[in-house]
Amino acid sequence: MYERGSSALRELAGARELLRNLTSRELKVRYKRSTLGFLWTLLNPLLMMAVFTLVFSTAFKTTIEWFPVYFLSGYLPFAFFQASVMIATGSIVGNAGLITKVYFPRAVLPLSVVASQLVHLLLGIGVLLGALVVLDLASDSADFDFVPYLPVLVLAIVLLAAFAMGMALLFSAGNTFLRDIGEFLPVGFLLWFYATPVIYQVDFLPEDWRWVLLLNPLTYYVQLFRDALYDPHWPAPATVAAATVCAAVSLVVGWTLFVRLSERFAKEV
Amino acid sequence: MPFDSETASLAVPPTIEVQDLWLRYRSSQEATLKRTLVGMTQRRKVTRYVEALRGVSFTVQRGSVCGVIGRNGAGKSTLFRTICGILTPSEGRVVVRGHVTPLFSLGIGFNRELTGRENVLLGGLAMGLAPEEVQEQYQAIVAFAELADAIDYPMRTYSSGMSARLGFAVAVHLDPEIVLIDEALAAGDARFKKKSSDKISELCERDCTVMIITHGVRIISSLADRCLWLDKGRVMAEGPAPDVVDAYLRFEGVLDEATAAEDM
Repeated sequence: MYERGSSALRELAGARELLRNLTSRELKVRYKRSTLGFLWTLLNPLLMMAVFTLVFSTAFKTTIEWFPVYFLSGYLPFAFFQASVMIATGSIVGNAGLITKVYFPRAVLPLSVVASQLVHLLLGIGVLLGALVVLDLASDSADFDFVPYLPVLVLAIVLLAAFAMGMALLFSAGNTFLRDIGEFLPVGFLLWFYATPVIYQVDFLPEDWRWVLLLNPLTYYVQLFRDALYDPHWPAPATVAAATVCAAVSLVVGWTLFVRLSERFAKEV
Repeated sequence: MPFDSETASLAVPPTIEVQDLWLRYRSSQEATLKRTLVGMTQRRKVTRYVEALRGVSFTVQRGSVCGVIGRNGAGKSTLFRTICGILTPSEGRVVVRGHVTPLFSLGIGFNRELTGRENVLLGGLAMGLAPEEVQEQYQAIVAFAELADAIDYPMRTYSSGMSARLGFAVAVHLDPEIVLIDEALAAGDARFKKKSSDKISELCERDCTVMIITHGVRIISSLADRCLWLDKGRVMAEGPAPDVVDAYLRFEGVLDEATAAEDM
C-alpha cells in the first residue's frame, strides 16, 4: 500500500504491484484480438528486416556485410525506443477516466508502457542471438562470437531502458498540456530514424553532417548494441560515457518535470 | 452528539482536516494557435479562473459519518477529489490520516478489453491495496455484484448496469478506512439500489470514517452525525446533521422534507 504525502519516489516504489500488473495488461491487451497474437512481436522486426534487406540489396546495393544482422542490431533498440515513447505519450491523456477518479502515482502509466516494450525487445534480442549462433556455425566467413561480450549487451539494454523511461515521462507529461506533441511525433520519429545509423554506417554520411549523429543520443545506444552483437568487441569508453550521461540526464529531467506537472493532470485531461 | 465529538477531538487528531482550502480551475478555453498568438500581442491576461472552493475549513472525526449537501456546482465533488489527492489544492491544507477509498468511480474502467476479474485486481491495486488483500475479498465482490460467469468475460461485453455494480462492489469490499461516497452511486435496478444503500448504512455503522454527498436529506438525517453545507464554494454551515439540514431546507425554501427527499 502506498503512503500518501510521502516523497514521489517512495510512492512509486509502493505502487510496484500496480506497475507489474499494468505491464502484463499492456502485453495482453495489445494482441488480444489478433490471430497470431504474441508472434507479432517477433514477426514485425523480421518483416521490417526483410523489406529493408530487399531494398538495400537491390536498389541501393549496400556494401554493409551481413546487412540483416547489421539492420536488426540497430533496429530492435530503435523500435523499442520509438514504441515506448510514442505509446507512453498518449498514456496520461488516454487514461483520463482513471486519473480523474482514483489517486495513484501517475508515473506507473508511462513506465508500464516502457516495461512492456522492454519485454518485446528482450524477445527480439533472444531470437537474434539464436540466429547469430546458427550463422556462426553455418558459415565460415561469419564471426559472431557474442558470448564474451554479453555484459556489453546487458549494459546497452539497461542504459537504453533508462533513457527511454526518462523520455517517456517527459513526453507523456508534456503531451497533457500541449497535445500538439502527440501529433508531431510520427514525423519526428521518421526524422529521428534517418538521423540514427540504423540502415547506414556512420562513415556513409558526409563529414559536414556527422555532428547530427554525435548530438543524437540514440547513436550511442545503437553503437553499444552493435558492439555487443554485430561486431562483438569491447565498446569505446567514450560511447559508454555518452550513453550513461544521456540516460542519467533523461531520467532526472523526465522524472522532475513529470512529478511537478502531475499535480495538474487531473485538471487538464 | 456534539459534546461527544468535542471530547474526542482532544484525544485523537481528526481523520480529515481541511484548512482554508481554495481550488481554482483554469477555465478551459481551447488553446488554439490563434488564441495563443492573440494573447501574446494583447499582453492582456486571457486566462480566467473558476474558483470551485473558496476557503473551505472543517474536520471529520474518526469513525463519524459526515454528510455533504448543497446545490449543483457548490463544489461538493471537487472537495471529494481534493481529499482523495486527485486534485491538488491551489491554497490551503488537506490532511488525511488513513487510506481513502473513493466511491464515486462507477465502473472500475481500467480496460474494457480485460475481463472483470482482471479489472477488479487492477482497480484494487490502483486504490493502493496489496494483491493478497484484493484476493481475499474477490469472492465477496463477485457475489455482491451478481455477475457469476460474466466475471471472466471482457468488460466490453458488460451492460452499463453490470459494470456499475462491479465498480460499487469493488469499492465497498476493500475494507475502507475512510470512504467518500457520491450520491451518483444509485446504480443498477431498484433492487440493487436498495442493496447498495443497505451496504452504505452498514459502512456507516462500522468504525470507518464516511463522507457522503447527497441531495436526499432523508439519508443524511438518518445516517450522518455531522453535516457540511456548501454553496458556491463556501461553507454555509457545519454542525449536527439535523440542524444543518434544517437550515439548508429553509434557505432553499423547500421546507417540505418529503419533497426534498424525492430528489434522491
